[in-house]
Amino acid sequence: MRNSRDFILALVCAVAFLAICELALRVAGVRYDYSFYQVDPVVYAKYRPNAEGWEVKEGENFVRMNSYGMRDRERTLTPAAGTCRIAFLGDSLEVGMQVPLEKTMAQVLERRLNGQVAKTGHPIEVLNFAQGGATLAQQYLILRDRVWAFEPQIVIWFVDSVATSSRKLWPSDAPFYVFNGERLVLDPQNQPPPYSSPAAIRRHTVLANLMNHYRLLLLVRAALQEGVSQELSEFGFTDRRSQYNLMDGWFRQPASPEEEKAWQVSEELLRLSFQDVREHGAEFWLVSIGAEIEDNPNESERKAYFEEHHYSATYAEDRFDAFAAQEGIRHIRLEPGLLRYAEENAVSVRGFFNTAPNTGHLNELGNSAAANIIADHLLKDSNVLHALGGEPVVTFSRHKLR
Amino acid sequence: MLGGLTLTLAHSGAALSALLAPPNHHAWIALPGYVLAEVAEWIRTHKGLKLPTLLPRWVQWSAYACMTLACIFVALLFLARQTEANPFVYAKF
Repeated sequence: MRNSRDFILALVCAVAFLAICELALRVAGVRYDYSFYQVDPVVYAKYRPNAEGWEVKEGENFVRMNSYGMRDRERTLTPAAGTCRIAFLGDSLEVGMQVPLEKTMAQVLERRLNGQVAKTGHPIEVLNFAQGGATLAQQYLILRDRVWAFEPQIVIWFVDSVATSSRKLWPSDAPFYVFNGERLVLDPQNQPPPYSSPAAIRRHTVLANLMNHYRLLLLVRAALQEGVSQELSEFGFTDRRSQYNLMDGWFRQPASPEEEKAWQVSEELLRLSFQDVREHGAEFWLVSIGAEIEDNPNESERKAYFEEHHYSATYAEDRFDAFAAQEGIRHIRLEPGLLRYAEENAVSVRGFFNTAPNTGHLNELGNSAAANIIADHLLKDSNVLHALGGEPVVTFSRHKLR
Repeated sequence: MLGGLTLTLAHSGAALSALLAPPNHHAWIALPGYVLAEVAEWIRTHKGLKLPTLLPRWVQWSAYACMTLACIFVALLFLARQTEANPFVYAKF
């Protein structure tokens, strides 16, 4: 009896101590990465519907997913009559976790297009299906699995420096495609994530949402998921990541059959996506967004980087250009416009208060500049928008950023 | 020399602001940390850190539990310090 009483009192003290630790973390303003993902049997990972929390690695920004698990405003499945929908498919650069929702590329584009097209009585909605870390294969799976239910008329497909990775070059838990003869098929080596049953996902959702409310739990997660593996790799116990440099794949002609094969898989995925979009009667746009060095306004830094690595500054974008021309796909190269904007305004389109300038993801200026470049192209060349009455009125170089 | 000293003092406010401005804006937490360290040092020199055996058993157990949790907490803080902040790490469940 006395033992039980002492044990319970000690337990109460321990819990009180943990509460003090939680309070200390809050008072100190310490934040760790929040949980936004859940497993998915098709794409393997997706944003959790209604997940919310802080993005802290670059800038500090509160993020909330909508009820469909998109970094977007709340949307209805069926568009309102007369509405034209544009679907964004991309990765973290298009998600824009680092900036407030209204400053993301998709939202700026939506406002800009609405400013010029909505007067025709056809509101524009830009639905953001982009997902952090999504590979081309995952983008293709998202397109087939989720996008068409929202009835978009235009699909904007983003590619960047992870576009040409393969399992051998850049191992990850994502699903991959491989060639089986002439056909592209899901890689038999793909391993669907465990615990992807509806009941397991529900359990994870409850736990992850709970975790997002307590910094102490986020601390434990950060320490176990990142800290421990980082320490282990520092001591040479783990080396899961490949030594392959993604920039080699972006700026350099393939140097091995594996790299060339990765390119071919990517091109075939784009071809299949284009075909899928066409079969749904929608318009397909390919947008390439390059590496951070490409929009660094410091010319000497850019020059030094390319000279040091013996890179061609535009290999991947040129190849996408040639591929798009061959397939009849509209291709927008964002980097020349982003660089011009950064140089003309002497600003960095990447980087945040807690990161180095010209590195990482696009900041508010970068998102806005990218959205305006895309808007200019759409207003100029999109048959869907022209059919709605959209016309090119303002060009990006003279457009005031919002 | 005096001129330089005055100039330095005049700029000390701005220097302090810069020290506590982002990304160092959490640095002020070092102040209560320093106070706690001084208090702990005072207790150690005046009372000693050994728990008196006359204390009730639940107090002793609580002290052991809290000490253990404090050690784990500090270890977790070090492990999660994100020295290698890679913004391109995704899909953490």
